Amino acid sequence: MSSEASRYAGLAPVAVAAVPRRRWNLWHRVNRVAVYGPLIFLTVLAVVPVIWMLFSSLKSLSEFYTNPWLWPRAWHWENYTRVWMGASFGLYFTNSMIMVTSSVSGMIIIGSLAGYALARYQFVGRDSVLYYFISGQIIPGQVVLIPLFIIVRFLGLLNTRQGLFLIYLAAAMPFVVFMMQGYFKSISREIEEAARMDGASELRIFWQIMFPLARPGIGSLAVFQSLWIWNEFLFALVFANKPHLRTLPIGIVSTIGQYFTDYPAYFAGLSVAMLPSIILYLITAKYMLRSTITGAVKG
Amino acid sequence: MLARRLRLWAWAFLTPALLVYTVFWVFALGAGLGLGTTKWTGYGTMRYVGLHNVLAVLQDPQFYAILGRNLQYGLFHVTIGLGLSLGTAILMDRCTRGRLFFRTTIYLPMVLSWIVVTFLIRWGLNPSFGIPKLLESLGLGFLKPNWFLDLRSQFYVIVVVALWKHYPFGMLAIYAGLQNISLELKEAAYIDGADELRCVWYVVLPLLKPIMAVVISLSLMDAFRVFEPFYVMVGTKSGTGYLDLDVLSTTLYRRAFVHLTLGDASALGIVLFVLTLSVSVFYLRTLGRTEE
Repeated sequence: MSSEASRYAGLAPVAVAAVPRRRWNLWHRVNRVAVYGPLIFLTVLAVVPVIWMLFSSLKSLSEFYTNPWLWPRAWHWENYTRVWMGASFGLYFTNSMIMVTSSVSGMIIIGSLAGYALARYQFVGRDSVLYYFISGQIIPGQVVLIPLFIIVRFLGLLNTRQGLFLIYLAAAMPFVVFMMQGYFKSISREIEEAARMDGASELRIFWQIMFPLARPGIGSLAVFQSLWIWNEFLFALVFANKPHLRTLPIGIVSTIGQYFTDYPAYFAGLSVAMLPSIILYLITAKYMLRSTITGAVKG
Repeated sequence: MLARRLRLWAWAFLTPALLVYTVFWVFALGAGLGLGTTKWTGYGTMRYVGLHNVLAVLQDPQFYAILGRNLQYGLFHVTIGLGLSLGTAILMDRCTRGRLFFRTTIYLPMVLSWIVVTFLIRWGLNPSFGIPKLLESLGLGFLKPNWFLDLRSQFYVIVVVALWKHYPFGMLAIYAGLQNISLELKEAAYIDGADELRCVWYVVLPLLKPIMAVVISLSLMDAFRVFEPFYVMVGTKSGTGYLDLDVLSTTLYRRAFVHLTLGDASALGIVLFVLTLSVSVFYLRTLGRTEE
């Protein structure tokens, strides 16, 4: 007797006896194919483009044309050095890293301060301030693009990292403040009140007690925002489109075509842009997807 | 005394976020609405023209061709995309082994950059090494059409890839909703004699309505905002070649930063804003209704 059948046998011997075992197994098998078949197909569909990119980035140009779809017979890692040094993807990579780390830490710091104030203090207009932040979510980036261009130019921040940084901060506020406010609300008040009794200053309560307690939430929020900024294109295109400031997406768009038909090098460039986000995603997927799930249910 | 001191702290904590957000987001929105009523190149004098720009946009037949493209893109998402999300979510809910694996890999397209993905499509369809070549080498050369070369079909290519990239989000949201439906409810339906299909149709789907409304609204908002794939496919070159692949945001970008007609572009921005606003009103209303 198969293990499946014996499991059911223990539960309902009568039912198992009534249904011939072979038919039951067949139905079970059909059911399994119907569930796993499509899932496997969709997995392949999600993964194949990425694998194609990685394989292509490691071929020689001639092999790329003769064998475009399978794995490379000889692995040409020098394609990567060619784009990294020759096509300045090293610079673009650094620029992307600088933008991600500065903007994400900035938005987490000011967003969590605001979220904490909204979750923990009593003051007139608190709900209005929260709604004020949340409602910014419906403003599309394209609509504020032109006025931002004028504001940033007026402040003398056009084609500087600071300008782009401030825009990312502002654009992220609706989501970050809303999420942080939620995290802080879910933390018990007792610790905080005890600390206040002991005479700790408000800033210290926030920074040394509450902020560390909200760390799990902050972590997944930071991952989300990092992926967004790593891939962000429109604002980076308008506000930091000078060779020394270009982030990877802008670098790709402006570089490709320069090397005429050096496709393996192009693919290596795309991989440089894609791999960090894939790695970050794979490391954190378990937690991130869970927080998306709970967020979707709440929202 | 303590209460007052705490109130001051609260405002101190709020200040940096409020400041950045107000100047670079809310004020910018107001300025954009204002700019839409002017004629300006970004330099020199600015001339007030009232609603002239907005009316010009609404009377331009080309605007409707462009809007039609955004709507078509959105329509594909709320029909095929939503169906795909729902179907996959139901399968995911059935799957007992390797859930985390499937969830992780199927969600992967969501985290890929649009720029990278668009280049992958472009090269994937390249006749000398892409899918057409693959079909040929498999002896299926007759399937190899030249259709990816014209822009109208490239539009559908982008739509299909966008479906591939975005359906995992809906899948995850619906999957979360499925997990929230209590087993007792489904069991009760089975005991009352419902088969699997009926159980899905009469018990599960009605309970998923609020989540579906969220997914539909977000897809529609995305449909009005979509930029990168169309930008990469045609660039901002002038001439008439791009016309078949223009959407709202690429038009706005070109009018603002290539032709430097900031007033016209902002008027288009106003229209875009009204469109997304109406979607979010629909979204908030359905949310409000389910909470009652």
